[in-house]
Amino acid sequence: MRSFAAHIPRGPFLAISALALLLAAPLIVVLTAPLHAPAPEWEHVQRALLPHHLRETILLLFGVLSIALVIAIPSAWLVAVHDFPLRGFFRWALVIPLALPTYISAFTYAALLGPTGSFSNSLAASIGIRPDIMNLPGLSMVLALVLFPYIYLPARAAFSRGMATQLDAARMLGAGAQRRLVRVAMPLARPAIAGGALLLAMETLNDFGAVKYFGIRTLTTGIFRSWGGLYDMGSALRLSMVLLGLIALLLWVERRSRRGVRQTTDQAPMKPIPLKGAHAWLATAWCLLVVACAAGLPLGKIISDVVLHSDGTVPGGVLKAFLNTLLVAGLAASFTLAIAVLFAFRERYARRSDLVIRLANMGYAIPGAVIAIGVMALAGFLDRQHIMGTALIGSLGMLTYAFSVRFLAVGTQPLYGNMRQQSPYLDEAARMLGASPWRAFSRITLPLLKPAIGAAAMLVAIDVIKELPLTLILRPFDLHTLSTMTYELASIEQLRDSSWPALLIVICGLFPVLLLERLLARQSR
Amino acid sequence: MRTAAFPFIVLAFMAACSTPDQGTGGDVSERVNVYTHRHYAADEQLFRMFTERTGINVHVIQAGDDELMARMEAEGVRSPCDVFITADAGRLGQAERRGLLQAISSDILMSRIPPQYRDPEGHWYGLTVRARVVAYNRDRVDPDAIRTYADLADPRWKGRLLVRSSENVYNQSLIAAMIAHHGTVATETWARGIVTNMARAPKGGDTDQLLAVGEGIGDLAIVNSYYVGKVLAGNDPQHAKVRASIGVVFPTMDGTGTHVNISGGGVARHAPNRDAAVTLLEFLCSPDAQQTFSEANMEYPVLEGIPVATTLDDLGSFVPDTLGLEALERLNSAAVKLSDAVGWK
Amino acid sequence: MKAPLLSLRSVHFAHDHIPVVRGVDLDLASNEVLIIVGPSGCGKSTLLRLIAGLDLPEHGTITLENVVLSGHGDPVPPEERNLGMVFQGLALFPHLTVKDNVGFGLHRLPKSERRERVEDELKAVGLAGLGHRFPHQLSGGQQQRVAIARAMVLRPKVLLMDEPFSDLDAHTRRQVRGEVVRILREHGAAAIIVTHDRADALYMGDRIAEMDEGSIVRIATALVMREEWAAVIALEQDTPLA
Repeated sequence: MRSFAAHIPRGPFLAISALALLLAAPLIVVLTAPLHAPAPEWEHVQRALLPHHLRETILLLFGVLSIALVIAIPSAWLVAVHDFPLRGFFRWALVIPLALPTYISAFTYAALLGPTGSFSNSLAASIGIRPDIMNLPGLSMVLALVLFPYIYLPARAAFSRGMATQLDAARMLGAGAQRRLVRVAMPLARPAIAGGALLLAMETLNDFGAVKYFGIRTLTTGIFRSWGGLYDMGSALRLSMVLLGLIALLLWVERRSRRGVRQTTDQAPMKPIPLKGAHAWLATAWCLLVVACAAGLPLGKIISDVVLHSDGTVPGGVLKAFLNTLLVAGLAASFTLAIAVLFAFRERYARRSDLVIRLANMGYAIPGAVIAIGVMALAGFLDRQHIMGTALIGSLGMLTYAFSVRFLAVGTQPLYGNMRQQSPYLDEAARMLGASPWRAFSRITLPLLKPAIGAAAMLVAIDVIKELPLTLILRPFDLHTLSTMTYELASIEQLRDSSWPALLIVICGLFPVLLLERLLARQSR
Repeated sequence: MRTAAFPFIVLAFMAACSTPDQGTGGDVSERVNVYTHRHYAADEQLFRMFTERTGINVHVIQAGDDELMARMEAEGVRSPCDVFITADAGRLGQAERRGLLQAISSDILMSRIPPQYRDPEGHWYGLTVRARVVAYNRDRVDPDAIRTYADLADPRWKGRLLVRSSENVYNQSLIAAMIAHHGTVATETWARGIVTNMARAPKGGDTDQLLAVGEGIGDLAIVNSYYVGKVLAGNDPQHAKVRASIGVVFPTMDGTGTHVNISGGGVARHAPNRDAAVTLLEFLCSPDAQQTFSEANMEYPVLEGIPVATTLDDLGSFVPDTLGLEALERLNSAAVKLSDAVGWK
Repeated sequence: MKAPLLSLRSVHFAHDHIPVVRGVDLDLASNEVLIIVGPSGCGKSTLLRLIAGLDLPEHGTITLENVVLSGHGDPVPPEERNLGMVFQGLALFPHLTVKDNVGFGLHRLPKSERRERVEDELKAVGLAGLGHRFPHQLSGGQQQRVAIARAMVLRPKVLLMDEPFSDLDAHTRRQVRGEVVRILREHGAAAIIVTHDRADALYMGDRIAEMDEGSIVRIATALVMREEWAAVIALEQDTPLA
């Protein structure tokens, strides 16, 4: 893959490294701050706060990951390699939860199954048992139900495309479905699954709204407790470092998991094996259960709130917020992908990956509010120098930049993954025909990357639509998006009023989700 | 994506980077820029009223108060912020201490706002008052048993008390006030008692605590008065049981009065529209505005002689604690540390 | 001729409504090695997959020792057909060692017996001592032998091979194909081998079938084929360049 490292195009590489530095800068600012910022309460934070918050973070991470795996792997396996009633529907329906922001999901589940949720109340009245999901296992379940598509999607792609002949070979050696899954498919899909699990872990780690509402103490709530409660930004930034350490550990595990397994390339897609009788219906029932719990329940609740509560009119401002959301998501997705493509180019030809680029990709794991601090510190510095005529902070451009800092990994990972699967001979052949590296990349690699670029853009858009803390603090005057609107209404505990914007977020997010699904379907054909 | 798309994306980004003029220009109509932690329909209504009366346009950014302060700090002299509004006296004190606010003297503000609800130097002014009250199940609790906040630690409430997380600023300021009155040692003992008495681990918001009283999960809940007002004045069928079953008492700090926190604002240090900012604050404590705060948002007005919303009035009257609000800022971090120490999540 | 081991009767298969295999009849005797040759895209690989059960014919029947594998009633799933298969590209499990690859199909046997069978098989293909390596640590010829051992260790009635030597150099190819014949003889197994290489076909095959556009256009013994092909090859070489 890197056989002509001798002909590195240095100029463009330097430019790309500079761009990476620009994107990594806010992270560098916040990560180096603990070295000099005073942290007067650190002793207390370390002793009284850190142990609880670290413990619950790890328990939550473990809970969410294991439940998400249990949901995602069987679903992906069934849909990828078998045929059963409603399979076509489940293929995309299992992706719907991606459109739900975790805090909306958490509020909604709590409104149904929390200690005073409507469902809990009726159960308590009828059979005397009051379910309560507002605890650590409950939150793990709720987050897993929203986030499992991060594993489902790559696992499904790996099962249905990367290993068809190996699965056939296992069949010819007498292995039944279960043995094929456990002994062949899962080990082979390990890198894909680990990549998805990493994204899921990062989402869990930086979640604030859902975690706070459920009363769970994670590193992220600890950061806010130190910052807002103890008035100690220094300790908050040190906690961010701990969080980052945890991410680095997860990244290392993910990298290791890729070792030894080379995803085979260019295989024919798996032909679905029909399931018969009870097995087919069991498969349908399982997928139905997952879709009902992960998408049906929260969506049903939101829709019923809209129907029961509203007087038929959309509340004022929601339409404007809807358009703003599309604008912001569109800007952020195109800008992020433009950068991601440049990074992909560098990744294709560079001898080794750049530390700055790796750092630039870490924004995904860091709570949005902490990134906002870094972005504001930088932009504020520039603003105070009067370099630009207008202020950067509070401009749409700065918001777009902040989204790219935060979601770069979402844009680059699918491209890197896809390039690893491309045959290296293709653009090597182009270069033997006299093409420059950029020409070979843009004429050969890039067109082949198209579906991956589309998919990555959709993922970024979905994330931006759901994003809250960066949007809240960096937005221009009077700009509302659907997520800020939902949050404002939900945070004053007017849950029913927030049902309209919540519904629109989901609808807004469904477009990219379904487009993503179509792109992936075309890819696997 | 074609390579040709790049220039367009770069152009779009550049265009997006240029912000509209933020109030320093000449011939644009007058404006005032507000950074606020509050996000209520009542506030929007008041800003509209303000524009109608004065012709000054109000432009708003709503976000968390800590984040807003960080933004003001980053923006420095170029900050477009004119008025900073938050719902916690501690944060107002923070903003003052970090040099984000300027002292202003306005006869209107001074005369309308009682001295205990404003900064003596005029850095910030309280606009509304919220009380930390106890809602109880009328069938199961004798309200006479709750005269002071200290009574809430009484073993008789073991497993019956509901309160949200100490993550919440109103709990932090309640604990800070307890420290100011009773000292750290006594408050720690008290907080231990609160934790022992909890019906469940803290979770959810104040409304969730009220719902839990309605469902009999606990018998009494420490909540903010304005959530009680909203639930009682509302018509949400989910809240019907709460409306039917709760009563409210105003506990005192050992005789001095009920713990209150304020929602208030100040003029930003580098406010480009300083005069408009003062005009806005003055408007927000005018009788009309004060009544709107109460009627539409169930808050107590700071201006004396304004009729409070009927729902609030029905809860009964109370004497606010006389403790200077600057204590809430001074003791906030001690309060957080104390709740960490006693395991109040 | 006694009853055939494996027989296909008017087997038909279409992919996206395009016929790939059209009405193939074929018999395979015990111990026989049948080679299928033909241009690429003629349906020979699909024919193997149909026999293996990885694809199911639209009509026609496939029987193995009087058991209907596919035709009437539910088809026998591939894992229960007792056929061995060596895939094009080999499809070795990259995450398992040679030993575990070969032992993969023996999971129902007790551990000690499994180990013994695997060792015997590795010895038989000349890979004794390499059991702990991973596939990517082996040469192309060695990988080929692993794939064969993995299939043969289950003592299949018929071994199916799809372009088994396509990735090997000429020297290794000659060596390995000799071993394949030896192993098949030793186990007394029948085989159907798909190839496009005439030398392979003539060397290994008892009979050779030529396929074109989904049908078997000709089938004859290797001896007959050798003479025919010799004539054609001579002709091709004599043709002057245009």
